[in-house]
Amino acid sequence: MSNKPQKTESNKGKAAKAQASSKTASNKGKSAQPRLHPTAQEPNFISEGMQRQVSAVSPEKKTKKQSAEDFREFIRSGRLELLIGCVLVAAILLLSLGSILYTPYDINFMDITSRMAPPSAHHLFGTDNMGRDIFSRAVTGGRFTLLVAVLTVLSSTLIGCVLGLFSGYAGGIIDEVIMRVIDAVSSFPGILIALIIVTVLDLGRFTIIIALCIMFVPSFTRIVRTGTLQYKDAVFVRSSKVFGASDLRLLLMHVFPNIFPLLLSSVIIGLSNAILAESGMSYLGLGIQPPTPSWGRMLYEAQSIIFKAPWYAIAPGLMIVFTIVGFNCIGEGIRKKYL
Amino acid sequence: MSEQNSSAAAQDDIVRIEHVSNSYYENQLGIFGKRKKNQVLRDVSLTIHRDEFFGLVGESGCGKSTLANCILGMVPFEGTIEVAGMSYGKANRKEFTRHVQAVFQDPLSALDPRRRIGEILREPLDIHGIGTKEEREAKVKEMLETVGLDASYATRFPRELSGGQRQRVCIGASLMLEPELVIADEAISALDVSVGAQILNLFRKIHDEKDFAMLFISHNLNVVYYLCDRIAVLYYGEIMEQGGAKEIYDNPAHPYTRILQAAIPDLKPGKEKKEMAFVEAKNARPWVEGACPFYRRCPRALDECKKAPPLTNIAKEGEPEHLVRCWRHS
Repeated sequence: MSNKPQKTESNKGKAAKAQASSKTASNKGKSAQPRLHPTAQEPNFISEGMQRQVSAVSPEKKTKKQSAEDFREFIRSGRLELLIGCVLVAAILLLSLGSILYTPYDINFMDITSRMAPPSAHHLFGTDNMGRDIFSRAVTGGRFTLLVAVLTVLSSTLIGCVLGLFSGYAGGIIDEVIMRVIDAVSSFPGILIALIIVTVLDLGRFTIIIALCIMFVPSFTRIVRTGTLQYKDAVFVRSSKVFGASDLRLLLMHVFPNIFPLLLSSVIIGLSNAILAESGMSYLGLGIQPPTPSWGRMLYEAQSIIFKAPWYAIAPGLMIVFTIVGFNCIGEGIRKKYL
Repeated sequence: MSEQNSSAAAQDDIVRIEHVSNSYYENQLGIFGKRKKNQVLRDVSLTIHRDEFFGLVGESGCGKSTLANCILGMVPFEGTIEVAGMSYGKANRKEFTRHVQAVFQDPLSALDPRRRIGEILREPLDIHGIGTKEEREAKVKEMLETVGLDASYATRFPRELSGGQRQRVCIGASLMLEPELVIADEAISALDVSVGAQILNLFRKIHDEKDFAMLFISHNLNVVYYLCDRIAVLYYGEIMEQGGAKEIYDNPAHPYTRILQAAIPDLKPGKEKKEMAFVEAKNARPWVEGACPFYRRCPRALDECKKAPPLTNIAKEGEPEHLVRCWRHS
């Protein structure tokens, strides 16, 4: 907040400089110095004089430039992405959660008379080959898809954090063993793991969570381990060791909070990956089982009637795209803001 | 029981360092490079009395900080180090840290960037479970005032403070547990001269109010002379000279100490000292196994110096000890 006036001042300075580039040539020596703080205004009396002149001549021009600069700053700081991401994700969440309370039609209600009806006032996104309302199924499917994604990411983050912190902090042989196991897991194709788990275990619709979790743990473990290695020898960690802090306290109170921003952005992007993975699995028939709707499942069902009822594929497809874009924007925004 | 059995002399000593050696292995470049053993500390023995400021001087790489880390239990070593009659072990780390605290060189990296000053100062109390929440808060406020800040700093983040203020916070945090020994490892080298001087005066001021011993590590003989009661000069992992601060500063006996002393800029005009200097690197004598560590660069080396000299006391009868490791004085 406090640096805002400074920024605008420097913007004024820049605007003035652009106008008076020939005159500032005499000050080249000064401005050629490496500027550590680009926002700090240079003590440049010529540009200050010019600034007054410029503001007297064309006030609108300056404000235009200034607002353009502000806009560029707004984009650079990642706030635009954060905003777009939040709006998209909030809309999707609202629809999905709203489906608990109200859907226009029951998701399993089959209206035989209007099979494969195109989008209309009655059926917002049309109906499928069994006459079920696609809008109701898409928002309800979002609920299941998001639930699977969130549970997957939460549990794999938790496991990844524990493994990563432990392996990074302990080092030596423990680190080697954990990381080689992680390497082994991540070298398996995810689909294969999912196939095995879905056939071996039978835990209903949530088997897919375990399968996805195994796919996601390696990346989170690596991220947390790298952060731990970075901070475990930091002087402030050493200094709290001198205070007598236990290893657990060092990890949880000092190392973990410092790697949290890094982790947060990868968790958000992990969410979008999990949605994609779940959709992929459901498309292959490994994920959420019918008649429960999910986006991937709906795409799979739409496949066979893609030419007769293209709107069946469009609804879940658009939902997936918006969610992925939303989560990626949030993740990128957080990364730009904090890292 | 064991404390009662120890001798009366040990009661006055807060730290006893006996025959401490430390070495590390360095991986040489290349796949087939051998692991090279580097000896950092060679048989260092010294004691620090209670309530005393002890200075450790030496050039970079001579093992000053390694000795500090040995005392803190951060690096493995051979020999014995006892602080308040206790040796460090993983099991008694918590108990041990009540006796020893440290102030590090760079105050910014020594403070967790995500925590407020108040939290940082309270942390030692939290770890050791001292006092209730209100008592801890009161102690934090009191400590902030002791180190020359005020209570409003408790809610700030380390990045909002200046270098000197940060170092004050570090000093405050190290004193929260009321330790008997504070190790200041180059505590003022990262600060500019005037701020460093303020910190030195702060150490003195706090020392007037509280009882604690300090191991003050510096490469600057002047600073150590100003602050400390006794000084040890370390070169290449061995103590070259040890004695009272004034004695060492005014009458340095070892050639290395004399070079250090001569390196202090003297601004008095018209006083041309005949200064001692290192033998230049290109003229350095070849290394002889078992020689005095300073043999290669010593301007006054004798033939005897090819044997390791003993640490001998050159103080006259009745005066405090003044140990020198040089054949010219034994």
